[in-house]
Amino acid sequence: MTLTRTMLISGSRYLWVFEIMKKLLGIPLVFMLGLAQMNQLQGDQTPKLLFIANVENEQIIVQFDVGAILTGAQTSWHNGSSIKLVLPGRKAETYEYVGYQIFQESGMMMQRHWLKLVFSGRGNPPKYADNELDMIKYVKNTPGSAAVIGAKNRNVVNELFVKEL
Amino acid sequence: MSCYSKFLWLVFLVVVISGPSPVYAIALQSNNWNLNLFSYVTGRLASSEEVDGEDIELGETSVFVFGRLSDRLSVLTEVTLLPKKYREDTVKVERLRLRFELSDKHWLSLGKMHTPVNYWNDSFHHGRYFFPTIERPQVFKHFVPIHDIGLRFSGSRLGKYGFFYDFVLGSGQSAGDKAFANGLNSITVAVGVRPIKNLEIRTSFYRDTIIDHLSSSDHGGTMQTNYEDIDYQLWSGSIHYENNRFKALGEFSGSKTISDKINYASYLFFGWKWKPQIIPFVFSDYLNVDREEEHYSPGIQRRYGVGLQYIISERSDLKVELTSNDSSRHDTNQNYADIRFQISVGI
Repeated sequence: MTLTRTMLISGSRYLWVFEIMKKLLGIPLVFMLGLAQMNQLQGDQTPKLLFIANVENEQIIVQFDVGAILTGAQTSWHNGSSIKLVLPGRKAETYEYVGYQIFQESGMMMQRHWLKLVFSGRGNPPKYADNELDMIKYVKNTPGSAAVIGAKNRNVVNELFVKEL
Repeated sequence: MSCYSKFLWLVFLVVVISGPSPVYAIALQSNNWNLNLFSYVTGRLASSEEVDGEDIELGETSVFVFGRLSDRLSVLTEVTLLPKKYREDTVKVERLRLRFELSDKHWLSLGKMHTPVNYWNDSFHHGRYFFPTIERPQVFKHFVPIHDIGLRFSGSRLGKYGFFYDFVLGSGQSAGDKAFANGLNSITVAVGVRPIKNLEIRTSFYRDTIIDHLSSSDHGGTMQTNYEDIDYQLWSGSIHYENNRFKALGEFSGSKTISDKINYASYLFFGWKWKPQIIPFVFSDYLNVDREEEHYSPGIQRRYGVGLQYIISERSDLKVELTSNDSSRHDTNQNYADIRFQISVGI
């Protein structure tokens, strides 16, 4: 009984948090949820890109969210080892296309997104390559690496894990 | 630095940024190490001459290094440089932390880091290049603890709604750069969800003990108090949303020290991606420190503004803001409008 009472008294010291939440939240939350809902209604994904990865066990990667890897939300494979990601550089043919397909923004904004992520300490810096053959070569030679490439190169990545985006 | 030199520096910066780009600068050639530099220049024209600050100011230059020490271990350092004229310490270590990946969804960090109390402090750090507005929310100059030295447990992408968490055992604000000088003094618990793409909602609770608060550098309270060490609590909530058409951010916080009075602040930002490189925006920034607050300087500060962000390139942007400022602190009142611009770069 005494313990319960002590816990209640201790807990009540933090009740002010709920008062302030009630005061400050509300309208902004509803507003942003509305915006988010609008975004959910958009989007048209045409499968012209391929996600490729050099992983030992293909079954494992199937469970992963490829979108999370490409946007930096996921930076490690299931065993904790880092994902060595390669993205198209500014001179790459797919630079703008990947930006719009994956980030719904330009290639430039894709670069900014990643720079922000790295700077915040949330993401590992990706590499950038200006042509797809360099990207494919890097992924083939680097265990744990991944990249996004154009679907036209499908026939040269047979030994890698490939997922159509 | 004279006004003339500052002007030359500014012109040089604009020419460098706007001119033909060299070979792609962000490309990362090294396998394990990554170096970035971030800097900015801010200019201001205020309606009142009594406003503190200069017309053109050089900002902090952040030297940011990320290194991958092994497959699971990485190091991140951020050092800022600023001429003596603007800051007593010309070189400051802002972050120095090791991160160990426990799995694809959990990791452990150790060292000096930004507190994960809100979206802003966990995302933007010292590079103005990423800030949505020219300045941080005003509450950062008052009761948001920016740095802490300690151990941080983190996880993300948990479950259907993208739950994430951060739990920090820290040295507290009074320890400064001395790790655990007063033992384990602060605790941060932050949780949130990313239920759909581009939306993040988070809340946090931070608790600290401010040692000998009357001699603390952020002390500004006017109320008499008999306490030397005071208990400090902070609640924060953040909502961030960004898609290809809009970006919006709401930051809310409330704090209390000894009395039952609550200090609170809110920052709201909404930007419309009118063109891929042009983002008009509006924002409001409100801070209220209670009259009976014992530690922080009491008063109310309001800022409202409209602005425009022009993304010059992957590495640079220009922001221009027209702001209305109204401040009534315990012994000063200021009411003025100003126009500001800021050029920020990230190389």
